[in-house]
Amino acid sequence: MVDIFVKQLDGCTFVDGGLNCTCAAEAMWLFRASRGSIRLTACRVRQDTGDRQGGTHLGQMEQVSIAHGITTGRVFRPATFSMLETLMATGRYGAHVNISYRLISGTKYDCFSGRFKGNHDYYVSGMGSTSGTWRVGDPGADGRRAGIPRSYQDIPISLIRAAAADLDLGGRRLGTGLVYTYITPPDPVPPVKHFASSVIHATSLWNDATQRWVYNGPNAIKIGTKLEVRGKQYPKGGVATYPVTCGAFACNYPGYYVPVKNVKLGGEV
Amino acid sequence: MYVPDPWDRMRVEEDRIFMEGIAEDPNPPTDDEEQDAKLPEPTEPQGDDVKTDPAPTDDDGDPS
Repeated sequence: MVDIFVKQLDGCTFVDGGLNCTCAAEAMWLFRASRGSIRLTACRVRQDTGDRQGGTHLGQMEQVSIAHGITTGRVFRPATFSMLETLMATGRYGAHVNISYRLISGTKYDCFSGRFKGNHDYYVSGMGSTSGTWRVGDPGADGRRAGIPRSYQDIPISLIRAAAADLDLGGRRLGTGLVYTYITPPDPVPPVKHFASSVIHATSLWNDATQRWVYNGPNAIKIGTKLEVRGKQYPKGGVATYPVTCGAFACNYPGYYVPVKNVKLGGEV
Repeated sequence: MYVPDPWDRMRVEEDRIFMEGIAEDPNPPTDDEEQDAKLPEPTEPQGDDVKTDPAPTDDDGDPS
């Protein structure tokens, strides 16, 4: 995961920066979605929309992303907030989150000194460093004077949930448990390393197709048997296991899972 | 000398069955498959876009 903070009040002359919260959040979103290769200002995103009137919306940001080659994010108008929480908990997604600032105004997270209570857009980068928080890029958090937050803040998820539900849809509020959001494509998973290993306790293996332990009792895999495993653990049959693979070190019992406690890992292969 | 009790015999028989079932292809997820996370489809009726509102820009030090 990579992130960068982008402020909305950047001196833009195309459109006043006070109207560019969604554009600043989009610049943060694009940086994440492109794994750090697309680095824009809020003003540049605003220029990309071609829109000089008022604020901007998620549909416009989707078009900006597509224009920069990021086509696999998804806009939800709305999603359930619980679904967004589930995705954020994986650590593989960033998201625009539309909110009403009414509930943020006056809190320590307020970036506009109590003078703004309208619709706003956050970029959420992932889980915060403290339990029950998200790491949030409020585009107003430029620390421009004392009392104004600077850069990312850990904000309680419960507060964001309430602010998202309070989004003003033009005379009515979005509603509890819902959120307008635009979610990045998932971050890639780092390649999993494969390891040479040997059996240190006679062991059964887990067959995930049949959901059964096999090679039990007298058929157990003998001590000293060479197994090549992927160095990532999965709970199977109530214990932590490694998937057994076939490779240059060994090709014994590929496709089964071996309990972590029954093998000793050697070098990477 | 190893003399299996009835329970052991049953397990041995079970093992024989499952050992013969090696072709069942137990296949753990591959590295490539783990990359294959997809965003879910919307479950709620989708509405219209909504624009954000103008935030104040006349704070001290505001470059705009």
